[in-house]
Amino acid sequence: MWRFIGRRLVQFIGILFLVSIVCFSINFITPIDTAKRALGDPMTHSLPDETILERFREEKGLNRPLHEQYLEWLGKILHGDLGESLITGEPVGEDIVYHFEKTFSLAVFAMGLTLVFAIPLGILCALRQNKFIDYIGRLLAMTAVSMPGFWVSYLLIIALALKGGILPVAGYGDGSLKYMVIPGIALSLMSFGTVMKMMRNNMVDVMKEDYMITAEAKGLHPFQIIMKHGVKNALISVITLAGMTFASMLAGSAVIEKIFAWPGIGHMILSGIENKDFPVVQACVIVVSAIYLMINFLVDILYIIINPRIRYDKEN
Amino acid sequence: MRLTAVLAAAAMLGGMLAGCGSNDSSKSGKGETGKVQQNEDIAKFIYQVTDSFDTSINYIAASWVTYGVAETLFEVDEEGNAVPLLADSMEMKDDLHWTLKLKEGIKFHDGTPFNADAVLFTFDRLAATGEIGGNFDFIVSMDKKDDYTIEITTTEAYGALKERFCEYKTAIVSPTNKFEDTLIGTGPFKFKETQKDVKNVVEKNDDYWGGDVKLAGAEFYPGEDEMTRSFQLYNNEVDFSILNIPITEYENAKTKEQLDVFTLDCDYTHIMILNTTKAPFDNKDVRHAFSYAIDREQLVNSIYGNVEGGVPSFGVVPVKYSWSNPDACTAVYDREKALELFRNAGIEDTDGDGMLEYEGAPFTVTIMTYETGLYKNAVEILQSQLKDIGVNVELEITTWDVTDQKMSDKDYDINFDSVPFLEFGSPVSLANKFGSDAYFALGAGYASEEMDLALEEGSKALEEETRKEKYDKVQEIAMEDMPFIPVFEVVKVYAMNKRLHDMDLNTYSVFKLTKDTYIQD
Amino acid sequence: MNIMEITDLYVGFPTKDGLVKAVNTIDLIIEEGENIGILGESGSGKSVFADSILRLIKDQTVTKGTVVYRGQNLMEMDKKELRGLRGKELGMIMQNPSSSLNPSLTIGNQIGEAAAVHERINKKERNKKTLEILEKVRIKNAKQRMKEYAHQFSGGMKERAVIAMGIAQSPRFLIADEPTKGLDTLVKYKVVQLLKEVSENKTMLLITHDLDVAEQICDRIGILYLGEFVEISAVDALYRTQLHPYTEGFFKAMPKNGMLPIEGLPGSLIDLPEGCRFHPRCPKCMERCKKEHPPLYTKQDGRKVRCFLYADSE
Repeated sequence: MWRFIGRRLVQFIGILFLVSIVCFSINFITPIDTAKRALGDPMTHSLPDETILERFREEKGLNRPLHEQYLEWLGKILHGDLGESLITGEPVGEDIVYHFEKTFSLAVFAMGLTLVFAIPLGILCALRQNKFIDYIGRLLAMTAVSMPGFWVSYLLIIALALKGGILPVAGYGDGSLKYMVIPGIALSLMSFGTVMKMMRNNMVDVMKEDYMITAEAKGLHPFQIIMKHGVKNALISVITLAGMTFASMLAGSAVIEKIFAWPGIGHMILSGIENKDFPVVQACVIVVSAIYLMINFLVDILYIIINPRIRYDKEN
Repeated sequence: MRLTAVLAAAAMLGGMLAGCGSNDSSKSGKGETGKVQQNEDIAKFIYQVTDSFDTSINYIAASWVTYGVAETLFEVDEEGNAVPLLADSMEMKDDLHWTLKLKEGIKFHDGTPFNADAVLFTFDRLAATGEIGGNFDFIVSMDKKDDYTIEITTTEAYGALKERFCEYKTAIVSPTNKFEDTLIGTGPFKFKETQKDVKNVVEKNDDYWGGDVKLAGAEFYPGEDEMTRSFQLYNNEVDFSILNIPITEYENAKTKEQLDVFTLDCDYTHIMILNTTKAPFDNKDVRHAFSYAIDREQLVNSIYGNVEGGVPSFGVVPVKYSWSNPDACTAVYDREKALELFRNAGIEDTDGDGMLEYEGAPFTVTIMTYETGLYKNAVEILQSQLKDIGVNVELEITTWDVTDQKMSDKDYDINFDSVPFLEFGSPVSLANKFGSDAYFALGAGYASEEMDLALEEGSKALEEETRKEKYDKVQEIAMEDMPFIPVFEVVKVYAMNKRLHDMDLNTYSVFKLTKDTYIQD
Repeated sequence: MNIMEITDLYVGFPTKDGLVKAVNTIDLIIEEGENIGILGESGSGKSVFADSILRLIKDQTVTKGTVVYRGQNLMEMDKKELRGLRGKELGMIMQNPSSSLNPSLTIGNQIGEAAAVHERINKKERNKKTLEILEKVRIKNAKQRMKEYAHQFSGGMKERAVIAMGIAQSPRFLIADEPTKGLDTLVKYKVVQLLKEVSENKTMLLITHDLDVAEQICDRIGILYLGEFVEISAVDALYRTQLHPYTEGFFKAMPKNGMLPIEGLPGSLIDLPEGCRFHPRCPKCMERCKKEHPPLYTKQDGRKVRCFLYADSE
């Protein structure tokens, strides 16, 4: 197992390195003059003098060769300095933490919803395979997956906030749970269908396995058979799916965050892009990639741990 | 294992219900009617978020002037005149010198006195950073004569000085400002709390120099999604959104009893910028032909439907301004004239297929514009209108950085954009469009000595009459040369909760939170 | 005493190709303490038979007939009562240990589970019991092995584990479903020894296709063909002479006897041949056999045979 971990770690660093190069190149692939972008007024298109623009370029080191700029940037990142915003001049690192916290809490909430509802629903549908509940369940899952995120969000707002009257439409508010409810449900729905379906399908497969009959032959109660023998095996690949889903939630669903004015990292990236604030975009992408890769990595390890076949095979 | 699962589920549900139950203090309840409550009323707004509090550098941050935090030396009144606000008076001593007198006894939110030092601090910053267009370069120097008197020296006679001091970026800010997470100004409201991307809260400035402030405070929330902010208005979560709601919500919003729904002309005019360096746009007749070819009224009706207020533009200065020259509103719809002018330029339908040909090939032009807002809608309509007259139009929908680059490289045919011809109601800003060093003129490849002269004379003229005369001329030249074809004015839909009163709506369609704004249910 | 009486047992599966009549029909009386072997080829219905006794097969089957265990009809019993008997009175040694063991649980867990199904015992007790059982099935290093997973066990060890699960509660009646399938000779021998040991003082129903194994362990053998018995005999008698032509063929097909295959292929359980089900392959087929379905005749010596050749010997 340790060799596996070692290998994956090397992969992780390698990919991150590549990402950093791509990320850094954004600056230069797009035909925009950073100085003009930072100092100009997009509304009236008025620009300061060339001397002032040039001064800006010098200050930010924009005139030096690319690889020098890249190395300096990389060096700073490794020291934890994620750069400063072109617009406000403030350090990006703190900003990222501020925004990421909020994406994180929303993701945890949404993931919780998915797990608590999608998994039992999947089990239920498998047990009542091809009966009414199964059809309804699968229909719901498919609809949830096919509806575009913004549409689902608006529907939820109308149903729960406008008609329901208890929940707020949008915003972070005071950070209390009620502000998380609608965006959390919307975010959860985006992955709900796939998790539920996978659980259901896995359960259906598992129920056909011989060891389920063995369990019955022992005299176990059906509930015990399903939960202990069935679910445990069905859950293995669902857990890894859930892990990946969580990772993508952490990347910050930009759509959900925009609609609900949720001040998360997706929102931050969007603003950065709109404002063409490159340092922000670069830093966010690096951080999000790192987190995403990290979770990927952890999920792989988790899979090995919970699937005894692989765990002990590797050792042997 | 099942026990833990059940417990977890129960915990989740319990948490949710508890969260829902906690008090929502942000709802505007139906308070006692008729009472103007002085001390507890907080108005809630959706606004355009910015991370910056630096009014001199960031144009969005400059909006804090409209939210009552910072103030300018002069302000524009309902008639469009620049009247003193923080200034007491400003007189011209001679052609190159002005004496600016400041009001006394005003303090910034943190107690720092408002005086000449603060004014110099503000203008030094503007000069140093040179941000947002270094177009205060007509100021040579500002010298403090005493605490409340400043002498201003200009490079040449500059008649529009007072108007320039109405611009939000010139708002006078306290020298104690760090601009990191707050702004210290002189306005009726001061910052109480700022939470990035979550909300900004201001409270009443008890020591406001201008008198008693009615509202207890205001809260500002982000609201980038236009549907979401509409919902928040319907649900009484905010009183007003400074960002417009979609045109498509007009009808729906009107059904909500608690809301006032109205349209505003936003001072931006949609125009077609023509690349005069590229044939056949270098031919004035062709440019005029395009102008005659489009039916502005039909376009406006298509876009705005039954929303009142769509305004077609027949000239460069919107007619609601007194600066508008009615003789220069000549951009009308005249199909025959258009065809005639095209013919003169060698563009005609030679094979009778209904489409015009130019240099042996079907006459095709590309219009580039943005995805957002009404741009796309509008160009699609223009496309069909032009097709009707025989011009083949291809559309390029892109982002503003691309259009910027193309303008710079003169690599386009027509750029459908929007500009504020009169910023802050001042005709001086026509120079930002038509002057030979202006971004738009440069992008269109337009430079006219005659135009430059008229603009210069206009800005320098000291008499009202002369200025009018000069700017009338500017408009005539603009319509004659036609580097830009005006199409229609940007009209946006807004909804305001009826309990909010006296949000100052000045002629520039900017809402201002003032000391007189109040809430009455 | 008759511990089990099976009467008219029928199990059919509807499939898209038609109704598979896997057990059709079986009558059998089992004495307490005896080891009875059910022999047949694949497709004879023997595993379905084994599963059907404890009603372990899927619900889409049509089951008719009675299985009376110690006076109670298992087919009509309510589920709860039946669960009470499973493992405790009737223990199953499952077929295919590789798939019958849960790959995600330790072997110790699964055996312990079997031991503790109907009793409340704490973890320590359970582990103790598990060790005892592992010892009984001769798994060495029991303490270590308990914590391992199925894929870490060899074929023979997996079989022992499955046997362990079956005997965990010391049931009176054991059903062993193909316990030696796929094992090589030496291992098979050991498993046979083990089965003999564990079936002492118990009744065992052994399902197999391996004649040698049946000979070693069983007192009586029933030969199953296309869902019914064609011959039931005491072991010694069967080895001396085979009555039914199918049994004869079966014996001749054994490697040590010349490995002569029986003509033709086993018929379909969906479209059963008319008359005697073996008639298409029978070297001694008569006209009568093609149309009439022979009953199970009982000879004077107690041997039963389903063949018109013996019609007069009752």
